[in-house]
Amino acid sequence: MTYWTKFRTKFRNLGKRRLVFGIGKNVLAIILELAIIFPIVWIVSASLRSYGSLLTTTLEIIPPNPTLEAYNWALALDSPFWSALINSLVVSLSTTGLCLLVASPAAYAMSRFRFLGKRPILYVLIFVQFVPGLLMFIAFFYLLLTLRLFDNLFGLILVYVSLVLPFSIWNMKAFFDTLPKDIDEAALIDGASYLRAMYHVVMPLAVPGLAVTAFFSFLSAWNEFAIANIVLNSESNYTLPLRLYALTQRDVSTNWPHFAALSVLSAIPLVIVFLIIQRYLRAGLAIGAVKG
Amino acid sequence: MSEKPKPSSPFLKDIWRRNVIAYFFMIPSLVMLIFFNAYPIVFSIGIGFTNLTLFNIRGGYQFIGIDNYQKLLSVYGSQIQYVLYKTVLWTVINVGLQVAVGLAFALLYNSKDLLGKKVHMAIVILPWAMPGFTSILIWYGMFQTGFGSINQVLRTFGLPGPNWLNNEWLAFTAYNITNTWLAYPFMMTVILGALQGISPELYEAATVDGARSWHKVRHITLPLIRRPLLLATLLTTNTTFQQLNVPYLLNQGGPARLNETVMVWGYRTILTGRFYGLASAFLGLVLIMVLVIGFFGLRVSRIAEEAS
Repeated sequence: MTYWTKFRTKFRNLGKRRLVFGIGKNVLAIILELAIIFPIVWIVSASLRSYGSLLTTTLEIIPPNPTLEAYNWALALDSPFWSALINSLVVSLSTTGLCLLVASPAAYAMSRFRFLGKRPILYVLIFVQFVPGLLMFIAFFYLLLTLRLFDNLFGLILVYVSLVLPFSIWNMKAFFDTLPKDIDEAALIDGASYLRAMYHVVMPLAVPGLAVTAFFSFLSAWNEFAIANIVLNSESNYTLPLRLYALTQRDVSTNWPHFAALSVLSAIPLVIVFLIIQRYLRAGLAIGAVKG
Repeated sequence: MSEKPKPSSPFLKDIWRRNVIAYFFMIPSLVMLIFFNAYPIVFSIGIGFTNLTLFNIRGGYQFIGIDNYQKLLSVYGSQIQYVLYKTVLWTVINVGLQVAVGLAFALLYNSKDLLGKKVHMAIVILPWAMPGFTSILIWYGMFQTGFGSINQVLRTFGLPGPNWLNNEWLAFTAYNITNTWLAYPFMMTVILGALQGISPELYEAATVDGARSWHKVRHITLPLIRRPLLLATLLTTNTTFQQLNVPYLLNQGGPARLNETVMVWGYRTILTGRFYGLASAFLGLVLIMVLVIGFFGLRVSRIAEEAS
């Protein structure tokens, strides 16, 4: 069905006032969306330019002489993009994996059992999320220096896991809470162990919650700039945020097409994952589950 | 927390067993939390009472009592006062913008009249999908004077293109635009989730009673989404208050440190000043402020709930 026929069937039976209103809303939405995606359109357009042609004073969304020069630079074998990409992937994936591995049993226990000290632990988990990351970082800085993990990706991973753990436990607990207890009780009564009940019965049902938790821990590691900027000194350890930041801070002149190409390349994987996971978002975001 | 004890439930067998199993599940998390959360917090607060800097970190730093706190109030007093004023202004304005934009978008996108909703949703939520640091740097490019696209657009309409990041209030505006763009999708998603839980019959009944659309929003929608809205506002107030990347990546809290927030001040003290003791003391104070805000925020939202 084309847009137009859809439009006609939708509005055929409506009064004139509703019709004007309906069209108005659609037009408004499209205008707003154009404004929203403007930065994204701009960066894609900038990435298709040569260094000289970007510096115009008038707006040209479609580049006059599009070129893949910047992508050639970014994807060349000796480009800094690859090491930064690998570092970012290693850090973000390890953070996510480690975090899920550690957080899921805790979240399960919090959701299913009544035990001594559960309430205080839950409160501490909220409290920790309000603590400025920078405050803890001074201790991390000291710890990493003494553990000789400074300027080291593994050290950074440990810091990231600890920063996303409280949110992950909370979010997964809230999601487990929405799954009825009867399902794992049935498995337990049939003689399954608690671990089995959790991993084989509950976890498969909790995929939306797990996906959202995983996505958010991946995202926070992938995006983190401030701490990485202090911990990582050598360029070979740079993650994507540091690499991009370094590109924009050249004193003489920033090569914006290069920066734009790197931005587009580093955003594409996340945008794709996000669009896939989007339908889980409303179901999996803890705040929806905290309805009380 | 509010499990109804069912005698047959295997989760409630006997107290001892239940506790052992629960803690067995919790061990990995507890170890991580103690070593990498509790310990660093306590340790950092402790560092706030020493004169630790980069140069004496390998030994030689001393306990100096509340010297750092005194310094913060005396030597750095006027700086701190200014930074606090800017942070509060930033938080209030930006959270307001996020809520307003998020609410407006949620109401618009909840409408049945929108065609091709999936496509609309995918586009409007795109800022959330973009990696934050990339987006901020993109905005940094857009706010450049010469080739920045904001000024290009302004010139197209015959307006002068100012030097955004070199003027106190224009830079502040730039922060607000950037952060609202980054943060409204969260607000919108939460509100949309709540909106979809409202039964359409309520609106139908109101229509029969002759209510205008604004009245429906005012008397049906807002009261019913109040709880998730307040909770999301509280969370976003905290992240906005603690926002470092936007001011830092756009122009390091400039020009001339005029737009520094508490986090930028703390970050600068760590990164360029390297006064770790002083920074710890300062961030300790920030933590207290955050907790006070959080506490009152919870109180207010609870009062609001009881009132409704």
